Amino acid sequence: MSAAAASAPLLSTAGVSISFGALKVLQSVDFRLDQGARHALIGPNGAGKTTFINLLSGVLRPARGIVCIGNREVNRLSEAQRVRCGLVRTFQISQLFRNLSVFENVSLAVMRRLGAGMSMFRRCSSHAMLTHDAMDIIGKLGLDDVAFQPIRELSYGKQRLVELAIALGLRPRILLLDEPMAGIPVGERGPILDVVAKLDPELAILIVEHDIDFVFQFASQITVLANGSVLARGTPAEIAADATVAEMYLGGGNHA
Amino acid sequence: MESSERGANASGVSAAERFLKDRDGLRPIEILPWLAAIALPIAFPDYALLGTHVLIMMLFALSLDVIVGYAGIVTLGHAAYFGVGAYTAGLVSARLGWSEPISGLLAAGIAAGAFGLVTGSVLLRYQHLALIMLTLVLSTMVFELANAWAGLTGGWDGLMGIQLAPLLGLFEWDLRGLTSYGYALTVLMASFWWLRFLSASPFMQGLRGIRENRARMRAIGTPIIFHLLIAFTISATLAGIAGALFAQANAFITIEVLGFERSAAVLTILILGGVGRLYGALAGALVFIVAADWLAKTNPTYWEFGVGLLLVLVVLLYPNGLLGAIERVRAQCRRRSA
Repeated sequence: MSAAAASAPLLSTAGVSISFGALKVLQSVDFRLDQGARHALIGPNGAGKTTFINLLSGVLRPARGIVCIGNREVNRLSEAQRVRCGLVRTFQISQLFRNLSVFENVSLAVMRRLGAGMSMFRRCSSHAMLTHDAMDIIGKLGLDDVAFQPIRELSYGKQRLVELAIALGLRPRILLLDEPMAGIPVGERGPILDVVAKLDPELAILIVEHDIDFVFQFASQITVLANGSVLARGTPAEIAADATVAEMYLGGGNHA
Repeated sequence: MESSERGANASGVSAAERFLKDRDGLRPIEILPWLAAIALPIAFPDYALLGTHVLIMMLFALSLDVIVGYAGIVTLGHAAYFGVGAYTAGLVSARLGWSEPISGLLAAGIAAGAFGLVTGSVLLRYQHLALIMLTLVLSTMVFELANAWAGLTGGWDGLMGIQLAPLLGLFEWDLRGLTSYGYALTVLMASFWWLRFLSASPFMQGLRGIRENRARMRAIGTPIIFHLLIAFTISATLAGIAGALFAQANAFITIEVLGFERSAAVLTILILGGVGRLYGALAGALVFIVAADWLAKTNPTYWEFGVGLLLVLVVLLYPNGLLGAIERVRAQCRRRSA
């Protein structure tokens, strides 16, 4: 790490824009995420939040602007290469290996982190750290009792935990959580909230979430996205005091 | 922080080890098919020729299982690799006069593997219907090329003059086909047990991950195309070795080895036996070839109808093939005894 690394954010964008046809989905978005950040990205449906996550993780490339991990511009890096830089995401709609067990789901991630994803000359069982690390995460997320059941037999809430467990299997430096509680009834969010609250304090987290109460309690920084542009950014207190945000959320209708 | 992460509970780890042992571990029953295969020519030497054909199709179906069963990539053109292997083994003998069989077999594996590597690097960029059509088109092109080049390949008249030196300098190629049978069985066993070992590796588990959810595999950092390309090359190599065994065992091939019927037959065999289990390829080839042989003898005109009916029945009753049916029965027995 160079001396500049101290001031460089772990993940940043400068002026990124992207359009789908005539629709400008993101317009000149500047963003930074530092080590240990608890950063929430909020905004109405269609504001471009998931598009922004896709752009950071490498699913999409910006038409203009740059994405950096540390000091390194990563516009041309594939999703897989960005994962190797420590940037890991979860999905709003669960992306799981449905016919494999919870243990196997987490194992696939752990094997990649151990650099054994392509290993052909040893059995899974002889990769010593594999079972240990996978079961460690499964234990921490309270999934022990379903560890060897296929995903398709799990309740939706447990599936959302596995979604998170796979990401944690990679031991990310930067974690992008795309609505980790999407679809879970408010009363059943406890386990996920616990896991998110207990994540490594050094980890830089960007979370997209609609639950405003949770966001204000969890985040130290909030970025508000509307129509593909940054409407406001700041601490929860600053955002709460922001008139335009208040109007959008309180006066604007469906999110009241 | 590290010390708290050591806290994975011991019972969880040992449960995971049991799970892996149950998934990947060897079972005593796995020796049975091989004992039966060794016993067959001793008990019924007249079946050695048919048996050799079964063993060759088992190897071909196994090669397909790597990409269809594990990686979830459906191809209708796998005969291209079988055929490249068959012609490599045939041509080194018939045109170059190289008659040592094992080196011919290895040359065939390398040629088919190289062909798989080159074609796979294009094919694997596509998915679903587009990929199925491209594999079909590619194998048709290879077939037509071999047809147009009949001076070299012999075309429909066949490649004459495949001559083999005695195996290891010891075993003459007898008319009853006992040498061929032993040779094919040895190659099949070596290939099968290598795949059986490989199936427990992170590499093959990664293929299952790609089959289950490609987007997530990419999001955890997998170079998908590269991973698939290695699997495809392995598959093509084994298909080529199966083709070489076919050419050597029959000492004669026509461009039928490259034909669509063979691609369709091997996929049928795999579906019949059950995909993604290795043993499905063995069971499917045995049932398919023996049933086809028996039906062709009893009703030479309509035997294909019988084969079709068999396939329809198995797929309707047991969508996971013969092996899937066996697994279901075993699971029921275990539940009843528990």
